[in-house]
Amino acid sequence: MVPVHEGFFVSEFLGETVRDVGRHPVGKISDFAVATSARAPFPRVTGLLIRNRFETFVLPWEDVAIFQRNAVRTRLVREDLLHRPPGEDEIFLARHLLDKQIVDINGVKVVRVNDLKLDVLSGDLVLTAADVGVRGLVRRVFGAGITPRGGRLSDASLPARLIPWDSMQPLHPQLERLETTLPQEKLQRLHPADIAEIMSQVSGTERTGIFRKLDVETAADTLHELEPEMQAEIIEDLPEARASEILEQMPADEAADVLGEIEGEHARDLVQLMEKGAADDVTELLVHDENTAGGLMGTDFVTFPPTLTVRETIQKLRPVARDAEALFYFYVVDEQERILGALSVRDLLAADDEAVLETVMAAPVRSVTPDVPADEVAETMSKYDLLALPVTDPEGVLVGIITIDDVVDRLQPQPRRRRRRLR
Amino acid sequence: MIAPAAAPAAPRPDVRNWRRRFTIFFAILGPGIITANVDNDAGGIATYSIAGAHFGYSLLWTLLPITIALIVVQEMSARLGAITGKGLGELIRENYGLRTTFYLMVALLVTDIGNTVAEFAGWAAALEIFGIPRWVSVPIGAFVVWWLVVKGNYKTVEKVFLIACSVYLTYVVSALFAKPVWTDVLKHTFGPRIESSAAWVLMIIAIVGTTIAPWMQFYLQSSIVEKRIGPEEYRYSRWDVIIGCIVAAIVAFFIVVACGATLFPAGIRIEGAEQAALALKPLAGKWAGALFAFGLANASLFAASILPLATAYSICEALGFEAGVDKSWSEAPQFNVLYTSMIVIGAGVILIPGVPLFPVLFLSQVLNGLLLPFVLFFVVLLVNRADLMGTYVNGRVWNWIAWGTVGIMVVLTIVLVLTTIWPGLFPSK
Repeated sequence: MVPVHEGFFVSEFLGETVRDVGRHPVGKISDFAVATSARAPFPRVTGLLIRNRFETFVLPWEDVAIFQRNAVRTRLVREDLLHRPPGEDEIFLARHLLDKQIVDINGVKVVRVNDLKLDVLSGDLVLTAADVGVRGLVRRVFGAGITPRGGRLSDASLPARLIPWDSMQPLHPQLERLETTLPQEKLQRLHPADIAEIMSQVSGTERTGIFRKLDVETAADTLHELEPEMQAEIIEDLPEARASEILEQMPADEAADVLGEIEGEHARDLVQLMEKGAADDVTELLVHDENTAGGLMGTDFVTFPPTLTVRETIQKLRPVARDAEALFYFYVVDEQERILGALSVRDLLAADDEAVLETVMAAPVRSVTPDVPADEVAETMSKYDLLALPVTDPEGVLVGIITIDDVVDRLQPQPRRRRRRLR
Repeated sequence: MIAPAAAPAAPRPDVRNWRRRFTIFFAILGPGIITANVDNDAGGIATYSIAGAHFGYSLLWTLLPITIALIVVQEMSARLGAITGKGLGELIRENYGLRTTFYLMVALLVTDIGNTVAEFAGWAAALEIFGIPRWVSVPIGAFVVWWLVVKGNYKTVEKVFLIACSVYLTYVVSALFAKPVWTDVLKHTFGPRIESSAAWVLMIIAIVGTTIAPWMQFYLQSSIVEKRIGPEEYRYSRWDVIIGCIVAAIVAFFIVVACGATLFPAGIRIEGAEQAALALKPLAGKWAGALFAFGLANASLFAASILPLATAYSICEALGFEAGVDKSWSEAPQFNVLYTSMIVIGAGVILIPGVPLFPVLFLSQVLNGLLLPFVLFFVVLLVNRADLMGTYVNGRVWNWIAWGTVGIMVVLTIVLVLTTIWPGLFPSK
């Protein structure tokens, strides 16, 4: 067990001279090696990276006898020190975390690490928080020692902002292994729209890093929130198997939009890897020009035969309701899938349990063919206040629906996501 | 059953391909051209005017090597932005630590405040030529700057800026009015001549300092990142940079020619661009002077719009403060304080009665020259890091020119400091 104060900042020890038992200097601290701890949910300091004139080596934490500001000692004599060079895949606090961007999960934003706080926990020195406030900034720039009238300036008068380890998501790829002990990915706690917002604020490497941490479902939802170019970039960067898995998870029309942004051959490969049903839906949608009804429509719609009773319909609707993209209306079709009428959930609830759909549905239904231009679709929908508009082939066979979301996204060109800097 | 071969997936991306390439090219134009042109700001125009008035055509030759250096330096910043997706301040901080970054940012802030004052001075002086007093023009200018940024979005502002770039053509016309002897102009453009007077050395430093300014590296890189220009679009962006630098050099060239053809033979000493415009009137005609002044007004306001914003962003991004013009004072206090105070100081200093503007202008240029070597040093270091840049690190020739530029800048800077301390270092002729 090492006698240590409680609460240190990494910056206070960087550059500190380390001495051996005989008080001979062995070098200066240039970094802290960390690894996951079995005893605590925090990364544990496993060694000090020491630099002297001749070499850089890792001093194992077990060999550190005293660890205080202005007094860092090893329990060995200089000659007995093991001179282990730093490993390729070792994680270092200053190198991989200090000055880098992290996601503040509670504040839902990207912040930069000014300093790192270390605490003693069951005998280990562990990383407990990141200092992202002005206090940390001042401490780093001017050192901890400036003393205007007694008190340390960096400690007292400035606002501190500490983000605890369990509420921060580091973005450096090297740090991924530190997080394996966590029961659940921290990012997963955020809303997909917030994840997308964060992703649009960081650079490419970090963006891919964030996206890789998400489970397939969250990934699909997040992808949907991003700008088209960025969607394509991300899908192109992913391993094909994972990319196709995510595309499968998305509604067919959104998946088709993403694929439309991707270079032809790669897009084809991805579709081939997708599960057959989803692949067919997407393929069907890809033939349409993006600025027509066919390009806007999705294939997630619900149909029922005209002879079904209201009670039966509601029963059948329940399991579907969970997965359907938008359940504004559902449609009554004949055996050839030709559209006969439409019903809203409200119509259904208001109707008699034993009534058959034929008698309660609204008919005829306003619909468009796939080649109708997108502007016209929007006009129709706003004129008749429709939340969804069915798309049929010339024979009246239902091939897709356009929801109000599809149209709003396309026809209001205002930027949906805040840009990084100059807006 | 036929496998989902997805043949229809192909046509859409392929058909869109050439169209896309074409739109990409025009979508990407902007950062390089704008940055290079803003560079010919009030201070720049003043410096070139003085160079022409006091030294005739004899400094024209410096524009050629300066343009090459400018292209090399700007290209590196653009490449850094496109490949890493990060701003220069962020990169310096992530790789060389907070303390270095902090002092660099303090220096950038001081320098850019000086530059902003210079822009408002240029704006005030130019409008005074048209009979508008500065207590009217400066508040209006400050308001326009503030309004553009707070109310405009990046895309429209960029378009306004691109239009402003074309106004620089007025200098070409001004120079033609001045009826220069073109054989002399050509002789001096391609025939270097070295002097050793203090004035000459200071002039060279001022020209280099005004042509390659530290804030440009930060601004260009941020705009590239902002436009989401990545490795694939980068080749188009490189042309944007090269074209911008050449255009900026041509404008500088014609300013020197305009003043060199008229003021130099007449032996007129000037201290600023507005004096050049006034002196041009009797010598080259009313229109030449008016166009010159109009160009100055445009350039000054253009730069005054960009400088405070670019500086506030660079600093906040490097130090990890919240930044964004759409953020309130409580959301992004540091950003708002920096941005607003730069405009207020910039415009306010000009309104103080009896403030000598010439030393402010000249000093801001000298500060640029002092800060530049440090900024370039980091740019070259970063652009050579394989862990950041992969295969996009500098080639050998590019590195020679880059280090050469840094070296020359350091030498010029040391000389400047020495001549300031011992004015008698070089015999004044």
